[in-house]
Amino acid sequence: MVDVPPRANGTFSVVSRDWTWPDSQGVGCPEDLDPNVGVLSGSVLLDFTSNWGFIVQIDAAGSGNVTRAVQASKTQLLFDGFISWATTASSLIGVTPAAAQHGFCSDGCLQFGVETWPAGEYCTLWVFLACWRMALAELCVVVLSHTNSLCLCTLAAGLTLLPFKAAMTNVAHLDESSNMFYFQASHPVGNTAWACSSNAADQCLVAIDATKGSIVSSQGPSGYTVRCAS
Amino acid sequence: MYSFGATNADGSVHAFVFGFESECQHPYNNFAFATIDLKSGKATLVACVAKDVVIDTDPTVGAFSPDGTLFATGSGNSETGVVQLVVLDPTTGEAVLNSSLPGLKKSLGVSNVAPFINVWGVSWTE
Repeated sequence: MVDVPPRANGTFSVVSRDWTWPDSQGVGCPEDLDPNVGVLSGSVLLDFTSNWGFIVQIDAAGSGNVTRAVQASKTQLLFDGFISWATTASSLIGVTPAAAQHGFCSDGCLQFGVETWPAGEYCTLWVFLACWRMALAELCVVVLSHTNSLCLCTLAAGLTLLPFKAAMTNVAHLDESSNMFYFQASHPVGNTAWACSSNAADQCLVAIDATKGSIVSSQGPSGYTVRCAS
Repeated sequence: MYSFGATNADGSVHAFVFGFESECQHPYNNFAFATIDLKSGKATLVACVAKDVVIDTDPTVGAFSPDGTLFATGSGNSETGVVQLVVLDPTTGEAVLNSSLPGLKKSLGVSNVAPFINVWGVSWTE
């Protein structure tokens, strides 16, 4: 970790180096591939999607040392870390690759989910009081995490699957006042109602209701108005 | 869009983006700062990145400062072996800092024949 004052002509100081991961989870040299990066209260989080979402937390505002290394636990069959994500005080929220046995996601798609932090429990939905009003057909498991934040993991297939095959890396925005999560996705599959453009490669600005995991809107390049600020 | 910044009173957000080619007319890559209306997807250009600033690779590695007055992006160019750290003024697109951080390899004890140092992430401290 290197500290660089922004107005000092490129002078720098090495804050820390030669990190030793604090446990043995870092198998397979995940550090050989770029992690996805998040910031949480003065810490930097490195999400190694090359190693099933293994996350290293670094004390960026202090010592610069590794303070945690967490391998996500999950009830889902597949979770290999977030492509794009946002952070709150006790959770990481984002989209991850997914696959299902049947339906539009049988050849892969994205999934919206939440990982409690630092407990590392990955779920596909936030918990809310609506939990107890859910249909009995949906098998629910309620988990009380180490941080006392409730998380509901539903096994209802497809509930939070998103009909896109690709997402822009490391670009997400969480509006906590409205619980809306925004990210960019492309290559729509299945329900093309959320395809924002006839060009599959176009990046759609997708809004997700973070309390439900459902898509609210998908805006594409054709929806942009380019005008210069006065 | 490559990075989201602070939220404005009207609900729009600042962003580091690619596009606005006809307005920016950068000789290599048209990066810019814009405000994005998240509900409509409409983008409003704030400033083009200055023509004398070339961002090598990996524009997703970037972050706005907490007060939104600066934006930093970093990369390691695997073709040239050069590290790049750029700090921009989002209101003008001008560079406050554009450095290859000379001496970084030596400080980190990295051999000169090593291919390059890659910037994994950028965060701001108060």
